[in-house]
Amino acid sequence: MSEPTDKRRGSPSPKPAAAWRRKFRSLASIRAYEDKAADDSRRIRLPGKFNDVYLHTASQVLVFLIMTYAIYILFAGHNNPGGGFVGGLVTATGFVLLYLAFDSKTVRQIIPVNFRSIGAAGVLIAVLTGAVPALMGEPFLTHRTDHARLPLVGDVHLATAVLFDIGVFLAVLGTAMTIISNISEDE
Amino acid sequence: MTSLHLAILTPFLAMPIVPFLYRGFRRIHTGWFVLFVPLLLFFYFLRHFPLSAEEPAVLVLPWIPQLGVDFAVYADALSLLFALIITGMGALVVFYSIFYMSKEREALHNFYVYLLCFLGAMLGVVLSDNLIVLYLFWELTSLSSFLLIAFWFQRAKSRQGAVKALLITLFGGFSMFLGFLMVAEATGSFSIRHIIAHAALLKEHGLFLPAMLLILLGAFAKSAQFPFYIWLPDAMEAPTPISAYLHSATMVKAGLYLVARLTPAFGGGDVWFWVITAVGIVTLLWASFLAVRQIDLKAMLAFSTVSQLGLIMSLLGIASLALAPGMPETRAKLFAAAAFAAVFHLLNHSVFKGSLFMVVGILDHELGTRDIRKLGGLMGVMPVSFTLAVIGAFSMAGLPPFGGFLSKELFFTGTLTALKELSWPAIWIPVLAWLASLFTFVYCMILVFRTFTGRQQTALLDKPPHEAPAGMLMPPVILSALAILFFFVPNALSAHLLDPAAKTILPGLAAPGEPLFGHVSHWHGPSPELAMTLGIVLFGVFLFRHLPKWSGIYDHLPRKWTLNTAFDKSLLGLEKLSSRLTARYMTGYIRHYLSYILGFMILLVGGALLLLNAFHPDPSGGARVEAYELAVALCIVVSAYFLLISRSRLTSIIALSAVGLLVSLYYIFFRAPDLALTQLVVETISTALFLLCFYFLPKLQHVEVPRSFRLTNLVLSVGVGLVFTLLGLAVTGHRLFEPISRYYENAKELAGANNIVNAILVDFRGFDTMLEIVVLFTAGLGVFTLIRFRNRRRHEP
Repeated sequence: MSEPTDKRRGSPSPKPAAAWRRKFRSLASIRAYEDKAADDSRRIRLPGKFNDVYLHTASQVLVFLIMTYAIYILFAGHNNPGGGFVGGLVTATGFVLLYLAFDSKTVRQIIPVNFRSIGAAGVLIAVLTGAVPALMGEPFLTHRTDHARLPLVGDVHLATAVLFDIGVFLAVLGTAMTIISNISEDE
Repeated sequence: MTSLHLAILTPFLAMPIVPFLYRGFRRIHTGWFVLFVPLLLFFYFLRHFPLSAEEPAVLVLPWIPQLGVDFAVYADALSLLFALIITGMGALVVFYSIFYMSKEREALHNFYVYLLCFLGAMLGVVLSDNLIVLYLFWELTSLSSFLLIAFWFQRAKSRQGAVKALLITLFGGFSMFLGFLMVAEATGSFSIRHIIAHAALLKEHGLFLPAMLLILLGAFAKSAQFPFYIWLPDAMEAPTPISAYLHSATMVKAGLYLVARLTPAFGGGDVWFWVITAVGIVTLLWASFLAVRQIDLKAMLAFSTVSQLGLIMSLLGIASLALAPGMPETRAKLFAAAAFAAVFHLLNHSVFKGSLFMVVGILDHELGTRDIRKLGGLMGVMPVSFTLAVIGAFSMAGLPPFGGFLSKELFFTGTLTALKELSWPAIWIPVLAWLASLFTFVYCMILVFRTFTGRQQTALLDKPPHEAPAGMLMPPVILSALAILFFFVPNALSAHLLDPAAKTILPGLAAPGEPLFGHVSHWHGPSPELAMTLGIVLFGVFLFRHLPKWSGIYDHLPRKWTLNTAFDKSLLGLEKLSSRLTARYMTGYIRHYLSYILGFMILLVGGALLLLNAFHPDPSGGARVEAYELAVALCIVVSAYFLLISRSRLTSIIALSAVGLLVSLYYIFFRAPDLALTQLVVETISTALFLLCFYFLPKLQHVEVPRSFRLTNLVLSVGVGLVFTLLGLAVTGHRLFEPISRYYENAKELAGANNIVNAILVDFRGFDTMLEIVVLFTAGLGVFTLIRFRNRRRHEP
C-alpha cells in the first residue's frame, strides 16, 4: 500500500482517463497466469493489449443501475423480496464491478469512504434501534409501524424495522467491501 | 437507591473525574482532590453511631430479580467496623500518598483511579447482603489490587508479584463462587440474611461440607493463609501506601470478614472450628518464624501481616464453638470472648500495621533503602519516626500501654479457653500460639532496634539521613495516637463498636441491648495470660540478644522445595502441557481444521440419526419430481465433477460458481424469491472474491499425496454427502410438533410486513440478525487485521 502503483509502471499522472487505461491488476494477472509464457513472479507487467473500453463504458452505466436496484430492494424488503442483507450484497457487487473495471486507486477516488467505518456504523445503527425501545421500557428490538401522509408522495407506510434493516445493509456492505478492497489492494 | 448504595458507588462515580483533575490541575497534587472521597465516606459511616439496638434493614435495589441477584446492602456493626477501617485508612493513605508519590514523575491519574476502584469494591464487599454481588466486588478488589501491585509495571518483579497475587486470589475467589452457588442451592437464596436465618437447612444439606470448604478456600487465599500466603510478600512490590492500605489494613481482611460474616451460617460444627483454627495457628507460627529472618523491612512486615491474619483467623475459629449445638450459655460466653478478641485485634492490627508500613515507607523514601543491614543508628536523626516505630512494634508485640496488649491478652485467653474446654486434643493451640508470639516479639525488636539503634552506616545509604516532612508523618502519628487511645479507653470502643460487631458474628448469644463480652480490664491479677506475656518478654529479649547464635536454623530450611518453587513449577508445567496439547491439533493447515469440522458433523448428525433411530423417511407427502428439476440436478453433478478434475484454478472457480448458480435455480422452482436473490448475489460476490484471491495463490500443481490423506478425504466427503442425504430424507418422516410457520403467516398483523422472510429477519428473530451482523463485521475486521499484520511483518527486516 505504501508504494503508489503508477510509479512502478512508469505512467505519470493518476488522471482518471489515464487510469482507465490501466487494468485491474488481479484480472490482468489472471490472464497472465493462464498465459503459460508469463513468468511466475508476483509483479507482472501488464500486457497492454487488453482494451477494456467496453467494460468501462458498460460499468459506468451498470453501477448506477445496480445501486438504484440495491436501494430499491433495501426498502422493498418490507413487503416484497429483498431486504438489508441482499441490498448490502448487491451494492457490494456494484462496487466490485468498479474494482474490476478500474484500478483500486481510481475506485478509492470515486468512493472516498472507509468501509470499516460503514460496517461499524451499520452495527451501531442496528444495536441502537434495539436499544431505543429498551430505554423506553419496552422489550429490546420492539418495532413499530405507522402510516404517514407526506406531501407529493402520498400515503407512506413507515416502519422502524426499516431502520434496523438499514443497519444490516451498512454492516453487510461495509464488511464485504472491507474484505474485497483489502485483498485487492494488497501487494 | 438509598444513601448506603450511593456511598458504595461514590468512589466509582469519582473514578472518571480523576484523570481530568490530573490533566486540568497539574500543579496541585491530585491526591488533594481524591482525599475528599474517603473523608466524606468516613464521616458518613460515623453518622451511623451510636448504633440502635435493633437490626438494621436490608436495603434492596433490584438488579436481576429473576435470578435472585439484587444489589442488597446492609450496614450492621461488623460491616460498619470494616467500612470505618476502609474509609478511615483510605483517607490517611491518600493523605500519605500525597507526600509519597511525586506529582511530577508518577502516573497519578492511574494511581488514584485504581485506588478509588479498590475503595468502592471493598465497601461493596463488606456492605453487600447478596452473595453474587459480594463476589463481584470481591473479584474487583483482586483486580484493583493487581493493578496497584503492578503500578510500577516497568519492573519485572512488580509484574510477577501482581500476576501471582491475581492468580492465587482469583483461584480462591472462583472456588468461593462455587461454594456460594452450593449455599444458594441449599437455602434457596443468595441473601446472607436469609441464609443465616435458614442455617439449619444448610447444615442438613449434602452440599454443606463442600460448600464450606470451597468458601474457606476463597477466604484463605484472600487473607493469605498458609499455604496461599506466598502472594503477599511478593505483593510488596506495590508502592508503600498501597501495601499499607491493601495488603495489611483492608483487602487481606476481606477473608476474615467473610469467615466472620458466615460464622452464623456455618459455625458450630467441628470441621469449621478445626480447619479455621488449625490453618490460622499454623499460619501465625510459620509466618512469624519466617519474618525473623527477613532483611527487607517491607518483607518482614508482609510476613508479620500474614501471621497476624492467622492469629485473627484462629480466634474466629475458636469463637465459632460458641454456636455448637447444646452448648450451655456460660461456656458459650467463654468462646464468645474470642469473637470479641478477633474484632478487637483486627482493629488494632489495622492501626499498628498501617502505621508501621508508613514508617517503613518513610525510611524507604528518605533513605532510599529498606535493607535492614544498611540501616542503624537512626534514632537521633529521625526521632519522630523512631517513636512511631516503637509504638507500632510494641503494640504488635503485645506490650502495654498499647491497644495490642489488650487484644493479645484476649487472644491468649481464647487459646486457653479452647484448651480448657477441649482438653488434650487442643493442647497445641496455646503452645503454638505462645511460640508464634515469641517470634513476633523477636521480629518486632529487630524492626525497631536494628533500624534505629546501633551504629549508623551513612556510607551505605543513597541519601543523607534526615527526618521526613510533617505531612508524611501525620498519618502514622494519628494511627499511633489511636493505638495508645485504644489502650486507655477500650470500654468506650467496646460498647459502641466492638461488642456489637462481635455480636453479629455470634448472634443469639446475648439479648439486644445486653453486651456479649463484659468489661475489658487492663489488669486481671496474676493469671496464665500474664505469665505467657511475661515469658514472651523474657525469652524474647534473650532470643533477640543471641540472635546470631540460633539464626543458623534458617539455613536448614529446604531451598529447593518451597511453596514458591512449587507454585512456579506448576505454572510452568501447566503452560507446557497446554501448549503441547494445543500444538497437537492446531497445525496451521486448513485441511486439518476442515477435517475436524466435517468429522464432528458426521459423528454428531450421523450418530444422532443412527443412535436415536430417527431415520424413517416418508415419501408419501412429496411432490412429483419434474424432469427439469432432474436436469438441473444433473448439471450440478457435472459441474461438481469438473471442479474435481480441473487442472486450472480458473476452471475450478467457474465450476464452483456454476454449482452455486444452479442451486439458486431450485429456490426459484420452489418459489423462494428471497433465497434465490440472496444466493445469486452471494455467488457473484464469492466468485469475485475467488478471482481476487486467485492472484495470491501459487500455481495449481499436481502433487502426489499420500494414500492415507486421500483416504481421509474420501471418507469425509462420502460421509458428509451421505449424512446430508439421509438427513434430508429423514426430515420427511417426522411431524412431531405443529409447524411453527403458522405463526409467521400472521406477519402482516404482527409486524406490519407482507414479506414473511424479511419480517422474520428484522422483527421476529431480530436479535439473531443483530448478533449475526456483529459476527460478520468482526470476521471482516479479522480479515482486515490478518492482511495488514502479514504486510507489516513482511516489511520488517
